[in-house]
Amino acid sequence: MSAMLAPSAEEAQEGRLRSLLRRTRADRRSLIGIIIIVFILLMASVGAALWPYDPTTADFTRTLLPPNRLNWFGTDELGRDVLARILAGARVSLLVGAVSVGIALAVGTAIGLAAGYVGGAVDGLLMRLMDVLFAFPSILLALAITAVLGPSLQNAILAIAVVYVPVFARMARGQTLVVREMNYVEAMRAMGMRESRIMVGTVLPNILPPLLVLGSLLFASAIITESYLSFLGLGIQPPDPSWGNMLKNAIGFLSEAPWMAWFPGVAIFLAVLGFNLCGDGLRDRLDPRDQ
Amino acid sequence: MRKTMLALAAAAALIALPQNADAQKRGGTLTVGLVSDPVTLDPAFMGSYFENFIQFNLHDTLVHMTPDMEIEPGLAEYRMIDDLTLELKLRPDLKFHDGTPLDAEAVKFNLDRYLDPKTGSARRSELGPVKSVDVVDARTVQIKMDQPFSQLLVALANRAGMMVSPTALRTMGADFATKAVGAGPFKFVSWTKNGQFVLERFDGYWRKGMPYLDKIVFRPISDETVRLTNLRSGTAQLIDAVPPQSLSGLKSDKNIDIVQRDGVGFYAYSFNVRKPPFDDVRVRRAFVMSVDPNIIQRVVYFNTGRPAHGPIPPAIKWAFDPDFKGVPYDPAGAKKLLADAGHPNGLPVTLTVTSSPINVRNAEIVQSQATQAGFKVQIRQIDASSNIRVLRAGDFEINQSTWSGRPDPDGNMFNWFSEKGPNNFAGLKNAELTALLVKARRTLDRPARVKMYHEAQEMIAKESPMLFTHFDAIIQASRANLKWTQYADGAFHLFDASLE
Repeated sequence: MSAMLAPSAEEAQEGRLRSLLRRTRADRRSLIGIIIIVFILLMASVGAALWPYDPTTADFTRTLLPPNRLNWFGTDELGRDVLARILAGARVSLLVGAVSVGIALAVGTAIGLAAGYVGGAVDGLLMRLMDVLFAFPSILLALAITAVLGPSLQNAILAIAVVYVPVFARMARGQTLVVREMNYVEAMRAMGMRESRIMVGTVLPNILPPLLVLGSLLFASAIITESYLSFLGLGIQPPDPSWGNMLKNAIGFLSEAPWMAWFPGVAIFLAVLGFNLCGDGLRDRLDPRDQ
Repeated sequence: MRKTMLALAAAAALIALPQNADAQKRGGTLTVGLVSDPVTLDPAFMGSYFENFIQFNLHDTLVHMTPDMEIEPGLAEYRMIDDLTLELKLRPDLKFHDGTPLDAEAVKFNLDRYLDPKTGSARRSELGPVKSVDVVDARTVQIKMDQPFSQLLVALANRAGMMVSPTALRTMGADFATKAVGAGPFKFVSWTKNGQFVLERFDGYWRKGMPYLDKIVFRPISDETVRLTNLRSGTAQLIDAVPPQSLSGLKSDKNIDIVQRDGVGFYAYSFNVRKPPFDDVRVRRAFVMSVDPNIIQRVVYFNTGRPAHGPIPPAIKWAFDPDFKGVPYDPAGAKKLLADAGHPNGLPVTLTVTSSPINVRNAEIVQSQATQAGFKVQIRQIDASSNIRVLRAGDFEINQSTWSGRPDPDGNMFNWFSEKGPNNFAGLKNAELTALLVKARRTLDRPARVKMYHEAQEMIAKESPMLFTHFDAIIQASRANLKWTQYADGAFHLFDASLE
């Protein structure tokens, strides 16, 4: 009997994922979110490759031009094409979001899983550590980390990852505590299965979906955090563009060249909207009260 | 510009005829938008550029600087008795804000305090070879020096010449730094850090009928857009540091006067000559040759100020040489020189700047131009306080080195290019240049000094320890109903300001 349990749990898991995907497809909000994300991905890859201007080449004879036939989004204070910079900046934003959230998801989940499953002193130690990280406002923590490590794109990504680790760790621990008490886990333990195998093979897949939802939401805030850091000069370094440092440049020209602020502002808005819609849709589907 | 001329003419008339005070309206509260708060109100310990905007209103100096940076009598008339002795004759019946007399004893007390090593004042080095301060009679003081010193009057027209009440200094103790009692046209009322700094009219001020204003409120507003908005809305009537790009938009506003003139500072970069690659003068020259200050002048400064080729600014009219071109712009020559120096395939260098938009903008243009000559410039942005540490530790290859400037060429050269100068961030060691700068500050004859400074400027260009890019204009703006006078060092001297 107990031998039957593990496969059936996996089957149940597969079924849940499949129906989740189906319902997500049906969800209009998620669909819009996905369209936006795909659009941004296309722009960052195909668009950037096709658009004829280089994002970092200055042309001092064509500074602060409003949107025109050649420069659809106008030019900035050094005569660089704003559209080219938006497209190149999209790559930076997506890279920062994906890598920092990826690292935080992996590390945070491992910590939360270990703390929740092992419990006791390990739990106490790991979670107090997470509490320490949580005690600082996230922007402040990211600022402090980049200030210590020095400003660069890698360090900005690392700082954002560190900020998000405790968020994932907490959720992973909470989910683990629930799953750990489930009958099928009890049964596996009774079968004599190794604890490490139960932890990774059974508990982990069961706690993953809500963590993925969290990831999609944090992806959006990672993009915003990167723009804060770049805004403060702690993110990607000039002349390479990111939406955040483009906005920073634009501030000095709000009345003279407002297009310098419009486009990166709209880009950040769209990206954050896309990931938030996706995340919201996923969360609604996964909310047990809806099921 | 016409308004500027009018304001200057009005100011000149006022300076010439201080008795003719009824021409301007009395009363009113002036609100001033500044970039940042002062750090201290005690002249012995002032060290921030932002104290310039309040210091001449709260304090008065023994001698004064005109808006064009020429010396004139202040609290005292002055004359050189010989090359080593300056005699100061105080105006009659001078008082501090607390009512105590500003007499020869008070002057001696103040100068002795600055000179005393135990005080630890930055003023001590500014007073150079001053040996003693002697009271001759109740209104007369003689300052004696070991060596002739051309910078004595310049120092006495600034912080080293500011007189504070000895009584208040003794009774207030540590509070003096935040509630100083001076002898300026306005006296201290209150100071909320990062909120507002309030001064009110001092009735005992020595210029008849002045000041005109009842009260001045200084507010730190670090964001340039917000500062400008406060002026536009009339919340502030005078603001410092108007961004050049906003000038064209402001010109159409009839309620606002933009006032600008050549400043005494410079915008520049120091090369670290202590270590490779910039220990090689050819690499430094190649970098300087690759950058065209005219482009920076146009793109960053919207044709305000002037392109710079050396440390002597146009505002010091008697010393500025408009024909001096330093190391001329020559990108092809730069490329060749860089190859000759052993870097035919280009040279990666790091340029450190403090992370404000205007600094990054400047750096990006330098980056873009130097790239064409074969340098691969990486920009490193850090905050202003870290940059001071980086400069002192010599932990950089090229570093932004901006200078608010001094009203005498000595102030823009001695500290920057003499071997032990505190601003010799480049680490230049040139005994001949140091000797020349020492000689120039010990020479009292102006034409002879001009010759020496021009010679020093040539030597600096030859060594190229720095890349000079721009002489920023002083750009400030006021509501049209405010009459005031702008000074080439950017400082606010509001004794003759009035709200009409």
